[in-house]
Amino acid sequence: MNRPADPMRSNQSTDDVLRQSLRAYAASVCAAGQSPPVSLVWFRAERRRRAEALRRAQRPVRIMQAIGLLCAVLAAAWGAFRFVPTVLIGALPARPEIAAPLLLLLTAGSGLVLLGCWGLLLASRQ
Amino acid sequence: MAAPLPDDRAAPVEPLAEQAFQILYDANAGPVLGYLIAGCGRRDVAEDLLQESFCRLLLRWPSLAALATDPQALRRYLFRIATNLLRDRWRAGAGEPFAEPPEEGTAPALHVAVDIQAMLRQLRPRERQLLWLAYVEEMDHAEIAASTGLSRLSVRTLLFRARARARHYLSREGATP
Repeated sequence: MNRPADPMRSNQSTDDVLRQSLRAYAASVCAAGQSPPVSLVWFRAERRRRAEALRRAQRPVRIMQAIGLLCAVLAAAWGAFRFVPTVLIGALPARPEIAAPLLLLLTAGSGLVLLGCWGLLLASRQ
Repeated sequence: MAAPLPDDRAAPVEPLAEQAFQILYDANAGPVLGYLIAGCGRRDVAEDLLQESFCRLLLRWPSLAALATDPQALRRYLFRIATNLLRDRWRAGAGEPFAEPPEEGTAPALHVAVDIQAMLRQLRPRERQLLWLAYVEEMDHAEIAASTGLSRLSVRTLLFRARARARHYLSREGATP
């Protein structure tokens, strides 16, 4: 008299087939080719580490650049507002908010900050 | 978004020397590459993801104090990175796994009765990962959970379903005894 197949035993056998098949596949995959050389991975990581370090170092320089640019734009806008009507119309009295030497100083300072930041950025890229 | 990696905010350790990295790479590159090939079905993509996995490990190394002295934890961490990379790739809409024919001369010559690539193609990506970790890497539920970012309970349930689907395929193909 045939007894019905034990489902637990059947599952166990199927698991064995699955295990053997997957391991044979894993072994054949490993045998099919070499992994990429370790030097390639090391080089890739080094390159990325340097790029990351450079980006970190450039962050304050970029902030200074932005501040310098903002100063220059503000100074230019104020200069245009202060002097252009006087030159064109020639009749308006000078406005007393910022004296001309102070304006010159501001503009020169902004320019120097900009130039300095730009120089730092160029130097950090080399 | 990829699953978060284990907490790596512990005290910093010394940078990994090139020779130590070579030992680590030699011990783990093969298993991780096999896992990635099983996951994405393409050797070229898997090799790229393998390089990326080790790159990320190297870049995070200074903060991996807890793992630096435990090779098994390091191995699980590598599998975790690989799992996240595979997941990112699928979410980015990468092609169907195993859809493209293998390159000339790289198709593995199998001496088993089952077309394992066809079976893997039938399974969902996560099922392939779980079966691989359970049967090839012989990880238990806790280790699989650490390697995939799933909870132990989810691993148990998903692995049960994956086994059932694989069994169904094998019985349909007549590969079961």
